[in-house]
Amino acid sequence: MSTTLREIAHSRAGDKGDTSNLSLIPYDPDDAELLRRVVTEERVLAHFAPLGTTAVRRYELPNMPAFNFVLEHTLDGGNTRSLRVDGFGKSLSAYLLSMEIPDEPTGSEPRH
Amino acid sequence: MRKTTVRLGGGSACAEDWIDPAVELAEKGELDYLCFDSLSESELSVVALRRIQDPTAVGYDQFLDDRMRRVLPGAVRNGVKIIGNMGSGDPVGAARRTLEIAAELGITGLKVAAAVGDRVLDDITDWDLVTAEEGLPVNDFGDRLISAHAYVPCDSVVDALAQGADIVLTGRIGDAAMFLAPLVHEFGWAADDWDHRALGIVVGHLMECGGQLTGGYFSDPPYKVVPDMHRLGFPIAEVGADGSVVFSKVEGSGGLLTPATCKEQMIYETTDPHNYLYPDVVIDFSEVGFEQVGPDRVRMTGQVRGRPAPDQLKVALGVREGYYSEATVWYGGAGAHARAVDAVDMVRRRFEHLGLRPLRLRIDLLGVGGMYGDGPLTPAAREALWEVGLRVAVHTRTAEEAVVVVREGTNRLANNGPAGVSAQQRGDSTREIVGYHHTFIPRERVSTVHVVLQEEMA
Repeated sequence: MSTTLREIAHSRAGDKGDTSNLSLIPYDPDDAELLRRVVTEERVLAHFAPLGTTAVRRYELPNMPAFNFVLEHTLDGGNTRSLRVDGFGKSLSAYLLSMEIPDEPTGSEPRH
Repeated sequence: MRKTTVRLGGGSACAEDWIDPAVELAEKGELDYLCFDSLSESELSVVALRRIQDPTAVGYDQFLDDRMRRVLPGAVRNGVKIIGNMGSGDPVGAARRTLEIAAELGITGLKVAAAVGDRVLDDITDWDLVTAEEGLPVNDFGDRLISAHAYVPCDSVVDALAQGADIVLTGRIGDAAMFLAPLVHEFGWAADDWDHRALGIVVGHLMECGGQLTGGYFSDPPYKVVPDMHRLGFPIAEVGADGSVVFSKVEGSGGLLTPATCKEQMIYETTDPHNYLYPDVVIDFSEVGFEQVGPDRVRMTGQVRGRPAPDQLKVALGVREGYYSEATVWYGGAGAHARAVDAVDMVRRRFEHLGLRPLRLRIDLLGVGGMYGDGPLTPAAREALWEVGLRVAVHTRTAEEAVVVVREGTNRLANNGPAGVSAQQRGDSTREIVGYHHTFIPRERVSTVHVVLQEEMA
């Protein structure tokens, strides 16, 4: 049975122009290593292909720990022009957390 | 005698935000300053368009009256100074209006300052600028360019506070700079004290979205649960002259303040944490952390570093780009999906049959794939759907075209499309698009000043 990111991390979506930024924050700091390994720029780019994302950059904040993914050309021209239901892309955090990750022992239980 | 601790309140995330938490902060927050963010990325463009359509419309924030009426009494009674960008497109008008409201409330002796100089539309074509995202020449926009405002640093607000202003209203300013200004004023941080300025901006960034620090934009049950969201307490920052920062909220208020809520807000709307650009300073917040030090009480940890302010200031532009409209109708019960698909096919053929050619068109099946593209539903799951929305959204050159396309795509399904459709919602969502662009200008081309207004002495 596969796990989704939602079970081990949380995220918030922000927007600047046509760029979306998505934080990815493990509930358990010990899961940062797993996230670093499996949530790569390439996997996020592939996951967001339906949204038209052209490039993904990943930044790390080690003392939290947390990651910040910056996705270009992801908001249909930005909230002033977007035809989408969610022009600001605030629901894209949930889409990121829907990503499945390979089944491996994490030692973590779903957070409540 | 300088303060050793300054208490700041985050009064709003946007113009239409709740006002009751700000009243609560003014009454019970034991604040020195209450700061309000009322400007989104595109708000000044909205104001510019409104004044083109109606030259008598006010240029300052339309929520100013309500907000000031409700917040002023508690703020004045408790000696809380107010800083806000609700000056929007007319900070001087906003200051004047605030004094009028104070007089109506029987509040006297207020000094209200307006910080101006962010508007750069009049000479922006002098410098052959290009937009940052697409490289388009700004001069090619012609009279479609209706708004140009620079994000300015905290300096004019600091000056106004030094002149004794009780309230400072601005136009476009670095949002977090509104929180930096009182810290600079109270602690006397030098103009080139980059590390402290960076700290002040980080505090401001955490505070500028109100409830987003204290349990708003957060719950995701069962993983994240926030109590009493309906009465979120907006955030308080206690900043020490020694650089210590502790976040809290009014005791007994709803919401949640934890390292998790702080981490989400810290990263929100940022890109590279080593190079967070602000008009006041370039910030490295990559080592920031958060520690729970009590119920709904969080201390910021880690070193925030600052580097000299950028040579260029970001300028937000608004360009008229046509019209937008949308509508949604719903199919429900057995066969909802099949009928919605039948309707989409009909709508596409109808547009072709009539020769309708919008600039951009989007047809969504809501509940199926309207938010992220095709979701995980199997064909069998789709056929079993109880409710499916058919949404049409369009970008056209004229308002008339937008109305026609949306009517043909939704409203006309009632008589001429598949069975069992809900009526289109009443009202028309057609509006003009003022598209956002941004560019950069050398900072010496923008000069800001503050204007102090006081009540007329009788």
